[in-house]
Amino acid sequence: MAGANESCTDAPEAYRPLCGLDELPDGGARGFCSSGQGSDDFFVVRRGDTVVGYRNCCPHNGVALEYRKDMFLNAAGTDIVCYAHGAHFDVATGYCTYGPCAGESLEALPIRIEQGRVMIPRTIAWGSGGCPGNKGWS
Amino acid sequence: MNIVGLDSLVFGVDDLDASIRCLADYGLTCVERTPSGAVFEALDGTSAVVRHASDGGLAEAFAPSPNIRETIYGVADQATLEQIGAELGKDRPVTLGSDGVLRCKDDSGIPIGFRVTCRRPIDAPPVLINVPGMKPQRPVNQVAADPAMVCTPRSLSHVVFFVPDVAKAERFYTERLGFRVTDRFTNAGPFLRPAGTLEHHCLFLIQAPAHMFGLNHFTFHMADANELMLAGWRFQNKGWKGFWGPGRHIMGSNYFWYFNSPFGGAIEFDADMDLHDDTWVPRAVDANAETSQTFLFDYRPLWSPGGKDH
Ligand code: FES
Ligand SMILES: [Fe+2]
Repeated sequence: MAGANESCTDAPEAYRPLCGLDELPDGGARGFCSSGQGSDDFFVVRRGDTVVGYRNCCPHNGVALEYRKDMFLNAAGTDIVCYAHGAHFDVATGYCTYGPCAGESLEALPIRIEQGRVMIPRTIAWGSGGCPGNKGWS
Repeated sequence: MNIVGLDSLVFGVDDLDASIRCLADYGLTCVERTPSGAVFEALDGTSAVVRHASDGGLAEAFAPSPNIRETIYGVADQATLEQIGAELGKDRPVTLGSDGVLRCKDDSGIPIGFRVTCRRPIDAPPVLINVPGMKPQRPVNQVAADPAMVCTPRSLSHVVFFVPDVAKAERFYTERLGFRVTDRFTNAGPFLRPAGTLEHHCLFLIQAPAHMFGLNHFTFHMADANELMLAGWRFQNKGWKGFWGPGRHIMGSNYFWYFNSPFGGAIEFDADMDLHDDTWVPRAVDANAETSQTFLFDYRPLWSPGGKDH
């Protein structure tokens, strides 16, 4: 419920539940749509009790990373991969280790785990606009 | 040198099942399936080959997997193959495989091959359109819109690479293999056409940061814009993630629709590319949103004005 603490990012109300931790495949990724309607604009990756979240937007061309629903990782699950041009990202940090955007990073979404629930900020930094889309060739 | 275009692209992937499903959903015909991979053909016999990245039969990887592992060009005849072998043998190892493919690396280090082309005449119904002011092509009472129409890609069109030194990469293809530059994106790189075809490009090279190297995208030709739209629309409905298109490029005039893929680069549908001969004067422009397309649309699900959303 929106309240007086809304503007204070440390207040519990600043976060809302996304899903249960056990609803996420351990070692896998899942995409979500923050507005509840449209294509997935962020995704989370779970490793045990740790969950990281990123905006679904590649620093290279500004497009969604996955090739199908929830396919954000390589087959071994060791890296996040952008399947437009093969950029590889470190799962823990979102840092691009290989690809046209090497040295840049995915935009992180802060995630909290509270009593087995995965929580995300009530206000998403990029709004409901999703990913801006292709910026060109190079 | 009488190189007629691309004959085959070979990929090393880390998710074989997803890659095979991708090519099948894309509309190519599976002509070989073994535990180690598969071969998918277009109507003219040109192909995409997919193997697990760890497959010992693949050329050495030059980028993290998944990625492209070999680009095989088709040449007109045995004499051309020998000519290429003699030319490239001057300064690099060239091997002739038992599969008839002459193999080496280009000046960027990309594994390439040449073989007498596998291309065969395309056996498919003609594409007929009616245009006011022109003699009708489609006979009276023959309908064009068929929801059940089969859309099989016709021919392997082009491949695009990120290369660390685009000037050096271009010189190899123009000076050693006789490719022509048809057009150029000044901030990216050249569109290249080999001597044995008039098609605008079968190769496009993009300057990338020094560490970056590998596949940007590849595509087969669909029959026309109608088939491209239908095939792309079905592909997206099957769950593949589109990221650019449908639209129409300016350089080459080809209609396009790009999708993310498990191959390490994008997979595109293209159709209706320009033809050029040696009298064509290459254009040179900066690549940006204005110069990359004449128009651009986004996919949306089927809808009807009579539906409940009305
Ligand atoms: S858009 Fe992600 S690697 Fe190009
Ligand atoms: Fe293309």
